[in-house]
Amino acid sequence: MKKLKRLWPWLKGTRLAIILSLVFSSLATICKLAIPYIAGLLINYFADHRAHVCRPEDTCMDESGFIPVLLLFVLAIILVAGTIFRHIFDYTKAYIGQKVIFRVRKELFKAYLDAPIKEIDASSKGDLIQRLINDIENVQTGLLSGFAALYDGVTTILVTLFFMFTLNWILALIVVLLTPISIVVSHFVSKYNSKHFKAQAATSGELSSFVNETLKNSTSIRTLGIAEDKEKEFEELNEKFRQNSFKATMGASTINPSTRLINAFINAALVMVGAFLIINGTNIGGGGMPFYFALGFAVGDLCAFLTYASNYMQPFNEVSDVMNELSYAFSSLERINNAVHMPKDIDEGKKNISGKIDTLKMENLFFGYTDDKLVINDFSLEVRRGQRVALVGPSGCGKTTLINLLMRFYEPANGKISINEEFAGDILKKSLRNHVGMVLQDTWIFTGTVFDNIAYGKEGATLSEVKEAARRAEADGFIERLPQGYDTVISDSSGLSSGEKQLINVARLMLLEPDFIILDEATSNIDVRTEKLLNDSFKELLKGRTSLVVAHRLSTIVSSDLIVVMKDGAIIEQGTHEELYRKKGFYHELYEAQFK
Amino acid sequence: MNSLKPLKKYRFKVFLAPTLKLFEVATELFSPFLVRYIIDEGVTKKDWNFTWMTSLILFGIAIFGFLFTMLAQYLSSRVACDYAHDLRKEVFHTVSSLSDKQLDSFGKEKILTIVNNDTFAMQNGVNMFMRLIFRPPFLFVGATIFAFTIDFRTGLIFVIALLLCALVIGRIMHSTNQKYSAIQSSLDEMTLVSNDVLSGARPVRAFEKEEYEEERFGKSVLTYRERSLSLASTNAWFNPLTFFFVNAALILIVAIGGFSELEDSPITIGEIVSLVSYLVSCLAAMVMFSRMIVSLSKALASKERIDSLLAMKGNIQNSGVISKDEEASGTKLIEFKDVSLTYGNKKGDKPAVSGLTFRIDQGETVGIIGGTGSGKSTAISLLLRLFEPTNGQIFYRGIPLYEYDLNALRKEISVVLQKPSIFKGSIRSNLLLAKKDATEDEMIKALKNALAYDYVSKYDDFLDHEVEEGGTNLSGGQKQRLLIARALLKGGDVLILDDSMSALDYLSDQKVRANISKIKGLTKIIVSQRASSLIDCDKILVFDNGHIIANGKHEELLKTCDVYREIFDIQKGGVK
Repeated sequence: MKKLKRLWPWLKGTRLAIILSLVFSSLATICKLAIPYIAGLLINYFADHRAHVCRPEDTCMDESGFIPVLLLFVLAIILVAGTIFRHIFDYTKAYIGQKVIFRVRKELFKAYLDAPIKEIDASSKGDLIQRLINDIENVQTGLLSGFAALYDGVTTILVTLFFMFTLNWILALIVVLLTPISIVVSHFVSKYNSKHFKAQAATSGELSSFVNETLKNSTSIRTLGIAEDKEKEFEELNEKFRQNSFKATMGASTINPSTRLINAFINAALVMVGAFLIINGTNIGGGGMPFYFALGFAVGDLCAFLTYASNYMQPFNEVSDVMNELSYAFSSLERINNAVHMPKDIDEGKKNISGKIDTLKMENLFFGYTDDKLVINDFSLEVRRGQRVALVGPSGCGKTTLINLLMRFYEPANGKISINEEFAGDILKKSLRNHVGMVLQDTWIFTGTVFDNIAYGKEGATLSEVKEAARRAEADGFIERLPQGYDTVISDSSGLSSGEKQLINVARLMLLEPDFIILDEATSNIDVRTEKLLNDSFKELLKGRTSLVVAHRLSTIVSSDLIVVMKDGAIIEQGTHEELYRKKGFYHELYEAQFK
Repeated sequence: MNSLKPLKKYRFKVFLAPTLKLFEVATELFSPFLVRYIIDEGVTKKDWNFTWMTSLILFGIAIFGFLFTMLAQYLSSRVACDYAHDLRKEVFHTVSSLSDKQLDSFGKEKILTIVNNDTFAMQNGVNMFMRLIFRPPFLFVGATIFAFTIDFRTGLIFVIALLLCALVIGRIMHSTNQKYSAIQSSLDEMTLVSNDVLSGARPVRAFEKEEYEEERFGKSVLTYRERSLSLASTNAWFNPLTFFFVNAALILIVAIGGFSELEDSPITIGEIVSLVSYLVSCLAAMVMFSRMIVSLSKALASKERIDSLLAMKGNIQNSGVISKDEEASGTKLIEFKDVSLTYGNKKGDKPAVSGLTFRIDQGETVGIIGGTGSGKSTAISLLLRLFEPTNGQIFYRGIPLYEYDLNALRKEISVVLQKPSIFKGSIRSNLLLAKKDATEDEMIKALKNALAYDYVSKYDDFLDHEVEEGGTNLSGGQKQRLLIARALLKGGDVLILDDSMSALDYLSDQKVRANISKIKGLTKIIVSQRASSLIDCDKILVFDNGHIIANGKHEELLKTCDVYREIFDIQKGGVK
């Protein structure tokens, strides 16, 4: 119930529709179940009529034939009304569901956009997407449609019980007392069977990850010459799956016939007892149809009863199906709810950076992704406008982390970053990011045209601007060769090489021309010759701008104004290339290693 | 090959299933038939003896029906599971025989879905087909025949009601099918946008595009909602219309039956009751039947996917028989003669490499350098016979490569690929892939030579340290060192390092190369972006745009090859 409360705010605006749909559902159910009852009345009438016709000394109940016509008329009305009610209910059910999940999806997506990078980095991307797509689907099918089915099922059971007890309580008791047997049986079987299903699911998971791994490593499996071994391993899992799967399937297959057997027994018992009641003309257990037809329990009553009894089980099955889905849906709801309430990245700054970034100061920064390991350890650096600063050092020394702190994707544990002598925390993140442009190690291509990808940073960019940026990024060559040129739809997995992806990211930056530029291994996947051409464009771009460049290939940074050598999160050397090279320290060693 | 082919083995059982179903349905139809007699002969004539005896038969046939059903259930579960097992085996076998290019062009994600979900969908499909598909039609036909034997009009009502229901169901399913795929594409679209935004969390924030992305997502959510509602408005007719037709038939039967009393052979009350109960079970069967068709059509989509996979044939066959012992060995180990490879098979597709001509002698160290996309890795793939050349010939130990036993070839050549390939398990299990019976000493030696011992020895559980799938708990450099160790452990006559030290710093790179050069008699092929890694090679091949433009020692190339000099100069940075 507590969990259900979470759904409540999302239901706003649909609450009236929900009440209406419940009303229509009830009406449809009543109509549906009234038909066998009234048809039973008709049969009673005819049966009685014939009995009297057979014995000419009796007079018939109704000579005019008015009653059957009236009943048929009522039946027709109920039939049409039931059909319409049912349609309205089925449609509003979907309408409500769609309206609710529409709202939830948008809200959840917004939460992802508002979340701090820290949260996104710490979550699995697939899991977040799963919540946004599959879990919300689950809530729609399991919870919203599930509740509709649940309500439908429960009202059907109640109304059926009402009609059955009105007809004859003895027969009704037979149904009510015997049906639980089939529920117990199916419950027992599925409980016993759940371990087989679990085994089946577990083996399926094993198979899946085995195949996934085999596919990912297909080349090395070939080159290691172990393809046959892998087929054998697969066969073992496959055999295990066959056995588990058979047990699970066979187990599940016994439920349906068992419940049908019990239903057939109930049916037979009803026929026997019902016939006994009619033959003996007693009124034990109720006199059947009321009003004008109070003839004692009669054939029409039995006929209606058989219909009710054969449909009595179905809602129970549906309700139990719904119960299963509900528990899935509840855990999905929980997952959605947690994601919606993930922390927000609050932009607590108020000031805007006026003009350009003149100074960027980092003082005694400390930072670690986890508490036990510092990645940035007492780091201080000042960058002035127009300076070209390079960060070098072995991988894992904290270069990328430093950029995360500068862009304020993460906050330092200790220490202070200031921009133009202003504490960075007081400045709007938006304003900071507005001044800084970056190309990161992890390239980013979204699904869209080449044009859209390059123009991403600059709203309203023209084609000629984009082409010019691509030209400067040395990307125009391969873009022109794409089937639709700048209109080609690309994505991360559309077959661009990692070098080409980097060039598009560079073009994005070239178009933006921000006054502070961060390049984190921006050219690591670009071949040396293209890189050389690109360097001229970079030189042009960086002229008069401030830049912070991270590179493995030291040749690209030798002409920097300042080279900062990092190790284990701290600066160990800094200076120009000549100074550092002459010093014969760590930088010298790194640099020389390139030529050995 | 057809994905239903493995079913052939079980055809007897498959044909037995509908026969059993026929008996099962017969028992089901028999019960209302008896009820009719109980009412007409027993109840109406107040014959209690007849009534209770006939009622007992009802219990009996219920048990009979149960037995037939269970038999059918067993049969179909057995066949479905056995069949799916055979199918999966076949599918995996096909997958193993495909070349990398084929796997990539088919799509590995898709293959994964086929092996797991689609074969399971086929299992369920076969199971359902054998178990359930025959019951409703048998029931419809049986009930209709019964209705006709009673009265022509009631028979007609049955036929018309069932046909109308079938029509409605068919019509709705037809239009919902298309709508379902439209909805699926909306879902894919949403997944796409959210994937873009999550993987680009930094750029989205850096470029302040939050609102733009929200709008983009909003659009796809709206489309999804519209499409879903359009589906719902169709589906919302399903229940009401089937309900309408069946109940209209029921009312008509009661009316016609009731008013027939003055006719020559009136429809008895018992007949009316039994017709009503036939209609009720037909409606239930109809609903079930439509659900089944939906599930089966899903299985059909799976079948098509599996078929398309099974139809593929591996384009690398091991037809070679000659291996090392039989060959007339010289110093010439590998020779390419005017080799070219075009990946696509369309006209106008550019060859990835062409005119490759070079030779490698035993014990040589050969470097390969060139820009990205210049054809270095392609040349290596050709040598490993991961692809067949489009033109030209490759000789290995003086024998055409395709005549050389493929297993022997791959045993003799160890390779570290550009893309790290690590399996879930432990350091040990990953090493053992290269050599099943390696001793611990051998493993330690290989690790030491690859500089991997440094970090492996720091683990408390040493060689048994757990390695995640894809080696996600190892850094790039650690992975590469482990893979080099694996290749060294494998041994063989040729070692290929395909840009496999890129994540190592220059110092470690140099040390590993020094260790490897100590191994006697080993022919080494080193592909690298770093000119400095290749300085000591006996021979350096310079690749450019799919061609070899120069071939020689470092000093020679500096003098004669502009491209090489350029690469070297850029990396050196022009400063010393």
